[in-house]
Amino acid sequence: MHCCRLYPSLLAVAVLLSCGTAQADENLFGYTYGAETLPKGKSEFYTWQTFRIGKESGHYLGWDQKYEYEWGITDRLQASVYLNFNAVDIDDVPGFTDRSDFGFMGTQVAFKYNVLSPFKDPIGLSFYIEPGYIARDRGTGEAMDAFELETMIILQKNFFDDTLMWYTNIFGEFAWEKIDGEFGHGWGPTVFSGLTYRVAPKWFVGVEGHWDGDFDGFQSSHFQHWDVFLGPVVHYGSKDWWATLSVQMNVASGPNTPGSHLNLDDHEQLEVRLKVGFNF
Amino acid sequence: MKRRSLITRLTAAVTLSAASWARSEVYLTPEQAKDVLLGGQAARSFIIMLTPQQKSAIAEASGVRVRTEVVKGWRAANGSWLVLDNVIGKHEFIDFALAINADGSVKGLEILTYRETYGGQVRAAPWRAQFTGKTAAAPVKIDADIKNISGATLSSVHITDGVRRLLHTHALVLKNS
Repeated sequence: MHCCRLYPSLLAVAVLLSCGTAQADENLFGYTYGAETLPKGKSEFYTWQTFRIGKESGHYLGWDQKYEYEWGITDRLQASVYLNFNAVDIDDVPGFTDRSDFGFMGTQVAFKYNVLSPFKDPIGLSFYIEPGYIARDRGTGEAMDAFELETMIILQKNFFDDTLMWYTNIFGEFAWEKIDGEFGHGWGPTVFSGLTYRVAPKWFVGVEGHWDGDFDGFQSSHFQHWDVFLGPVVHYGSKDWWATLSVQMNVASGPNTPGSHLNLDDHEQLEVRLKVGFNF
Repeated sequence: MKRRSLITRLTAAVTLSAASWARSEVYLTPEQAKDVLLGGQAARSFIIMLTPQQKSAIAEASGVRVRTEVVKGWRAANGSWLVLDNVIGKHEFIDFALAINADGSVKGLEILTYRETYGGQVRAAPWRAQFTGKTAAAPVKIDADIKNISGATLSSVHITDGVRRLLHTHALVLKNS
């Protein structure tokens, strides 16, 4: 019973986490994580701004903001803390209540452990875990009370003196939402992948995409839907700061909303993400 | 007029500041590296253009891609060489100078510029000293006969690869020229 009531918001949680989580070190991609970790004692501060645009009809704009501090505990282990905020502007979107406001969305801590270096081992490998709390549904802007746990395997292969880099992440997110004093649950796997090339000193240009699936409950038989996003990414990095701009277009999904080529209940047609990081 | 003067002064201040900041990343000029590594010996500058066959031979022997056909630096009267080169850093190039004795062994390594966020430990003398005496017959590889600097792996690997490439450049080209 709770599963049915829980389903829409848990899907939103899965979407939020699979598309909005933080990653460590200088980010060459907007969505796909690298295997590197910060050196011991070093810190970085990041800001993420993600704009989600367009439902099947009406006006929809979502703006997710993430502020992150991370530091290197050892040369292989780093920790991060995040504060998340969200704004939505919804007008005449079927299935959504009209709304235009801003609020606190949640917080997370994360740990990333590097096992193999992408620079000296045949392939880079890291493991990532991130527990968190969610206070606001990023899709609808409504208040919620949910806990989540993200886990991830990060692979990174570099070519041509580390000028061409391929990242792939195998990601699993588990969420528990409290409704009427009881917890319901859901999960969502995602595969992220990106390829980027150093076109000039300080500049990388590439493509990235991700496939994500959503499940109601923890059983694989309770599959709900899948989505595919794809788009270009540009990165600039210097000694003291860096910036990454990624555009993700929703290119396929299923099962789709009747009469539509996409399922836009829990995603939008377009996402644009800008990250800026400062090293110190 | 006053406004133009203010803009001019501001522009000059920003330019000087940027230049000062840029200079702070240059630890040695090529001439200073020559004095340090060749000890004031008489030396003449050289530029050699590698042929495609030489590039291929060096890449095959060293296992390192040869990005440019230009090899330049100074050759001392006693037969030793100082080669100016660079490798790819995370953001920019890392410029370095490698002194090679007449017998093909490393005399010394100096980092000329380093502009990366992390990994500046490659400039430390003990790490650079690991290369002294190495020849083209040695592995010259991270985790083999050269220690990695944890937290500076990319720079450590690329500089080590650069030294190995130049040792084979000497063995295949410089010593015969």
